[in-house]
Amino acid sequence: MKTLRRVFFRWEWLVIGLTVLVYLFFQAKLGDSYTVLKLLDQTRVYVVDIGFMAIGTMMVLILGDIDISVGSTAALSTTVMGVAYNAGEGVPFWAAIALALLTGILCGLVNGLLVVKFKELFPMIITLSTLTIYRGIAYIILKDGSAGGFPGWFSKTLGYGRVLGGVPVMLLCLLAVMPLFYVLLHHTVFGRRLFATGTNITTARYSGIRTDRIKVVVFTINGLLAAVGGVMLLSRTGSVKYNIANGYEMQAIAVAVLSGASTSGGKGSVVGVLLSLILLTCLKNGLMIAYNDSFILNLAIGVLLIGMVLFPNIYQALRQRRQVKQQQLLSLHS
Amino acid sequence: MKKERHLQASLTALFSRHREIGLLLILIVLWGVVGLRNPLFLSGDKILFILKDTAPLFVLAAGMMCVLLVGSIDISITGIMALSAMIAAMVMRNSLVVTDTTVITDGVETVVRTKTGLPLMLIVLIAMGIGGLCGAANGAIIAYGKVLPVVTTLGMQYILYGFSHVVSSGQAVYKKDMTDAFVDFTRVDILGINAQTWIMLFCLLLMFLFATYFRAGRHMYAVGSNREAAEMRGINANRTILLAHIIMGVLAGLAGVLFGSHDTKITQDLKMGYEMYVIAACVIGGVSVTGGVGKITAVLLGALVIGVINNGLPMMRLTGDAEFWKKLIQGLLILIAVISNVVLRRMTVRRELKGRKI
Amino acid sequence: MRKLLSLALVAVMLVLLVPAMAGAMTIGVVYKQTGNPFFEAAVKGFQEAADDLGFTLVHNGPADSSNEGQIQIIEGFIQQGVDAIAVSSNDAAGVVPVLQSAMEQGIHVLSWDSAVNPEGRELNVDASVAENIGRVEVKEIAEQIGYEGQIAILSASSTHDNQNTWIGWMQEELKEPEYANMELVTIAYGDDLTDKSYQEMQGLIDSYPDLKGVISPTTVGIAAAANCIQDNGLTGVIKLTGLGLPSEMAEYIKDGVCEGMYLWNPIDLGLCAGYAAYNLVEGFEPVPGATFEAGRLGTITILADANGNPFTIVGDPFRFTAENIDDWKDVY
Repeated sequence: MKTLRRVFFRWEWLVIGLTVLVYLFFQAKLGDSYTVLKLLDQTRVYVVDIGFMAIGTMMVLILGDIDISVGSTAALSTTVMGVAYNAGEGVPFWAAIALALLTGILCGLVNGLLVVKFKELFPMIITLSTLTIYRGIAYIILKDGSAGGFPGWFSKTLGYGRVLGGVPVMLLCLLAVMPLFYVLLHHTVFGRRLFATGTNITTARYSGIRTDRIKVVVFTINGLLAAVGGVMLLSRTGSVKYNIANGYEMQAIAVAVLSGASTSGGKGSVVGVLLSLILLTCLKNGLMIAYNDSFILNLAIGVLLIGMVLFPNIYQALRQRRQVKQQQLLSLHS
Repeated sequence: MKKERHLQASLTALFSRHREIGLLLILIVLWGVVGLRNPLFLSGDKILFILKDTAPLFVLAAGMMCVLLVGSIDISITGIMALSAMIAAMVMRNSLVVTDTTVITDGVETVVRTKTGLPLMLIVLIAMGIGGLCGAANGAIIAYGKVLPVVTTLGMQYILYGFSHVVSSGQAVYKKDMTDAFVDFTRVDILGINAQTWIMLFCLLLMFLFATYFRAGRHMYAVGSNREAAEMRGINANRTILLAHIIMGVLAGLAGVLFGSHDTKITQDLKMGYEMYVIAACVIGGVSVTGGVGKITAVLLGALVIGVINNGLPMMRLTGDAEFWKKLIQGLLILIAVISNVVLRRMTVRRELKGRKI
Repeated sequence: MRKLLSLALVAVMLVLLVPAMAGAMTIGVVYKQTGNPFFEAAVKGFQEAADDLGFTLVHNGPADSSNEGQIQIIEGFIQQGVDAIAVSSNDAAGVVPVLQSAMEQGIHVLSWDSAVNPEGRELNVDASVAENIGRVEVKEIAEQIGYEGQIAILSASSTHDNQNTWIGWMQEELKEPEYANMELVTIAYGDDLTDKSYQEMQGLIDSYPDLKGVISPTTVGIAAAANCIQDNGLTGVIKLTGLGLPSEMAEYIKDGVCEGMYLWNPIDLGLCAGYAAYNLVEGFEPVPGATFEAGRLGTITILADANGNPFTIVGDPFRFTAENIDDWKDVY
């Protein structure tokens, strides 16, 4: 247990250290445009919507599964919201949001049930097909049109609103939700069971944990979070087309991996997600302004993604080799 | 009564052991559905066309099968294609020599333009070489760096497209920059069959021989089924994984050149998003994503299913409104193929259990 | 006279710049996609305006032609403190809130090439009047096929507003009596993807054996259609026109697959939009009837569209043929 915690803390310090480096680098290079206040504001753009999805994705990763349909779930949820709000007399706004969340829950539920009923299939394949199907349904509903016209405050306050002299409202929403998940994951029985299922599913099942039920619940929560992320995104774009949130699933996975979650299961932390979101904001924003080139930005993210996992591994391997050599020397002498 | 059940059992046995039969049936059904709607789809010419059109997809799927066999995955194949095709094409563009010769036939003057440059084979080899290097990078990071394949290839995807952008400075390669040989590469027919189809058949044969008779090929199945057991038998799992990724990279380079020649255009973001089709072709072809299971012949049929859908849908004469169904059909078909995969396998397991004599 | 004026302007700018670099005007240009040769050419035009007038140009586009990517870029421009933003949008409505946020912070906003909804901009700079673009392509294909036969349209995505506007005008034009013997059989969508456009074109050839002509008002579509027509050996049998890039279509035009196609000069478009942006920052009010100078393009007048929203155009679509293609194939 202690060694596990040591690994954890090392990862998070790595992320923090990188963040500081990145910040200092771009601060020196860009000066006025790149301040903590401005970065705070930019979190709206880079990390809030992804952040919600990343929390859900991280939970799925803890299970040892994967869900690449979150972008499409967000698309379908926001489509339902937009169409419901604009249909005929239109449903009240709160009902529209509720419908969006409900859609997200349904999508996640379907994913979870499919994963559990068809255990032979890797969740990647199942969510690969639901990815296409959910977005396809969104396309059938909206076709080539868009749905918008939401009440002014939706964009003004949520999408672009700031309080306390610069903290975006969106960010506060995310920060309000995070402690809930922290408690859920680390201080409840459910969380314990979740980690157990991810670490070793057979052992968990033999311990009496209903792994199937846990999986379905986690996928459903993931769907709900994807819908929330979609609503956040919608508040910034003001209208929804069927191709909204395209590619967001990969970004969510990237954030989840950077947070320390392992795709083989059993690892993950909400704090890690928060830290990697901060790192990504600083990095993406700095790159965007310094180079004005989207491909370079993606390239840097790719290097970061691989590097963050590769270098600790190399370090570990070298250390192990040194330890083995030491032991060999010791055994020779004794 | 017993006879009927026996017949039923052996039918399902046939289907589950030889996935190809089920796939062939699906193909015929699809072909028939489109053909009903538009009889022009049923011609022999069209069949040859679909074969030719599916060739690059199959080349990619063959490589993907190797990767999936060892229990890995590669989402960066489109990035590999883009980078290797772009570099090869830029080399071709630099070597391009355009000559206009005036030819007089029957008193009529026509200007014949020929574009020559580096030999076609060299350009293809450059692309395959760069592809192989990219694949090696993937394999090394996955096998020796112990980074999970999804993470590695996801990151590589971003990196490779980024390099493609930098190398090309955003400038695409068009038909006017291509040698005649390169343009004709995918258009020439040998013995009435398109060059691409020949490449596809050649690839099928090579891959079949490799997977069945070569030790390195058999090792891939071993490592994918049970890595620890394979290593205990003395198989170097890391080297096998590396090899699988190199093969994927080389084939991706080849596919990139095929696409480039067919489209007469190579852009920095070549085929972005296409990787899902390749994975789908493998899954429909019965390749297990967890490793150790896969037959190249079934993958061919899987690729053809996608080829028939892609070429058949435009011929269905669907007017504007029904356009949106196309997008849904693809996802549904993958799901159906995949579920049938599971159902078949469960039937196999049940049958084998029943057959056990205790 | 105009050259002297801009020279004087530049001199004044330089004088002001030397002591205080912080006072330099910066204009941010956003386009649909990075690495697209059409937009690279447009940037050349913007850069020309920047050199003429002495402002700093920053430009970017998303790698995946997404609306969200453009929003990120625009937010980045706001963060850098640009004075004006010129947008060619992927989603006319989706980019409105962020542009409104920009305008609230005192940044001037105009759209070009692909318009933004009126509430999100001060001015729209179109390459040509949409009506002209639609009508002229119908006239071209009609002339090529001798005013009778079946035609089809190969479009990009059904979500692209400018595509739908042009197609709308094409259908209007087809109502004219001289086209009575022509029939528009279908509209296919290639989603601006090379392989899908090729497959759709092949589908058209296979589904409509009597097809005589194709209009493809998208550079990806027309190139794929030309490729497909040539591969099927139907050069000259199925006529082709549309909007195409000279560099991409050069070979096909020379081979006779396409006898005439249109496009406007993106460099001029960028130049005009650049001047417009500059003038907006300098206090120009884009009301219908007002004019501003655009360097070598002369005087540009602000027009009003059907809803009274201000827009302006650069000129008429330019016709590319086998005779003039060599002049343009290395330009863009």
